[in-house]
Amino acid sequence: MLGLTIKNIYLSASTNGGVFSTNLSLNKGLNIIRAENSSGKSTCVNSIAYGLGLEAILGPSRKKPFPSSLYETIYKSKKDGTPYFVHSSLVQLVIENSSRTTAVVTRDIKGDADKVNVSINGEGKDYFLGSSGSVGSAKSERGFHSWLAEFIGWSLPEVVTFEGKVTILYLECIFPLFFIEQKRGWSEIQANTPTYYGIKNLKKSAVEFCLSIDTFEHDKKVALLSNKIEEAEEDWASIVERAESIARFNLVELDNISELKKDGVKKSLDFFYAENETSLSLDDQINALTKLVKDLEKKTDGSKIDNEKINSQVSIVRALRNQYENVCNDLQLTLSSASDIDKKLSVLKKDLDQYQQLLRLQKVGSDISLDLSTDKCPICESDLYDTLGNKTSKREPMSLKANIDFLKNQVDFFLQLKFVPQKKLVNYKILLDC
Amino acid sequence: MGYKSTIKTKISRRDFPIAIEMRPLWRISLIVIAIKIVGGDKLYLDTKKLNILVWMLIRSVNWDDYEEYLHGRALDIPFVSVDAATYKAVEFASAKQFIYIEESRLYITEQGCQLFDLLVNVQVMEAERAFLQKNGKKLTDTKVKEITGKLV
Repeated sequence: MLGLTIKNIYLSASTNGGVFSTNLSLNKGLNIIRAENSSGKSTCVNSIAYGLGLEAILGPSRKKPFPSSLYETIYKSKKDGTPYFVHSSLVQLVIENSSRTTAVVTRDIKGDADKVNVSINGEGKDYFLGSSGSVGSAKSERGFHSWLAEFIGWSLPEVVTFEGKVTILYLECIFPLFFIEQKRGWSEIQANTPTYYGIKNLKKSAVEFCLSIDTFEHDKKVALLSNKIEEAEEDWASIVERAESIARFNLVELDNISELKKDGVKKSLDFFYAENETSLSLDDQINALTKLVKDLEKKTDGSKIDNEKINSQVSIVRALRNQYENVCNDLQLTLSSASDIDKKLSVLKKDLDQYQQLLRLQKVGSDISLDLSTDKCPICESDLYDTLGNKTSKREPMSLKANIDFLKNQVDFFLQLKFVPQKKLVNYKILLDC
Repeated sequence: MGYKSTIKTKISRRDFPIAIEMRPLWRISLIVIAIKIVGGDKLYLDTKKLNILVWMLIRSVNWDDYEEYLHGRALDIPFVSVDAATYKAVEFASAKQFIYIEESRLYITEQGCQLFDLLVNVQVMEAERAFLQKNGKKLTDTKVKEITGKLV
């Protein structure tokens, strides 16, 4: 299926101390790379995915699939820690397709990583990776993935996204079937399939493509039709909503609201007037109103309408109506104000009554043997304020008599206040009686 | 515009009016009538019950609601909280020997009973006494638990 052979991997880093590089020739069939830890085995394997612009299959967090020796600093050897600073690095793959055409693919690691140079028979051409404007690398003629698919001999099928749009099955979606990344790659088949394309049944589609089970056209049709049904249902719901608001606004009723079904029957909405338990269609209502207008025209025929007089009468009615509304508002305010004053007066009168009771008690208590005074502490005989509240200021509470006078003043004050709304209410009553 | 006026600040040291329930004698009297009317033959109340009764007595606007609840005609439990002024009044009444405290119970003294008689004679707190006569005994220990959120 995968008509692609990796023949050679070349990695190089240019530093201030010269060029460091490695060249790895691969044979047909199984190749085993064996080396000490941190010698670059993973770097070599990852460079295949990277060189083909498919680093997405190394996992979502592997934006930089190589160690810092290919980006920043490389050390002379494991023993000699002399650092050399990387100013550019690249990976070069020699690949061959099923028609035995050989291509040299070169991509910068540090440098312009969005560009891939492809050289066939000594003739080089640059291709872009990722997206260039609105066109992606897989769809554009100058896109590297478009070239790679063609080089392998693949015609990438069209599939449907979750949003119902048609897109191609990208190379990143297929390659996890051929490339196992060493960390997450073993967790499941196609572990690192990218999900950001939003393709429906992505893994299944990739497998079907590789096994040449051609159900893409059918699946695409089904998906597009399902999408159309969803859109139609949404449209219908919106039409019903609009019709309902039109009906509410115009005081008419709606008939026959039903769900949209796959029965092929054309749906319609009917408005009607509901009057005295009978319903009237819009046409009937128009006919009835037209007749009424004609009858009225007949009745007024010959008599001259004095528009000026009518307008002046309408103005008077409008002015009177305004006046009436103002009076109503004022009356309501006056009644509310009078009620508030009454409530306040009732509370004050009750307080006054209770204070008078207390004064009476204190007076009578002092006449008999009972000691009811509260101005001295019964234990230490020190002076006390006549309150149970906290004494945070030097001000004293009023004496009982002073408090009674204060309450009487308050009552008088509110009685005077009450006079104004009372007078207003009397005036309104006279006005109404007239 | 351009109008200028001078405002003179005047700080008054006048005595200030207070609500009747903050007068010590008034609240002592409330405590006395509560123990005398609701306290039964042994003439005592526990502090929580007394606190609730005094709380209710000084809120006459809510008397209808309290009555509905105490007689089991309403399920809404009325809001009652701690009132520090009542505790001060209890201490005051105790110091003036109208009541005495024993094992969280407040007992009325002979002098307290005299004060109660005086209140009756000079027709003071008639409404409050009527409220207690009608509803005081309905404040059972279960209701006290309900009102205090079973914190007892």
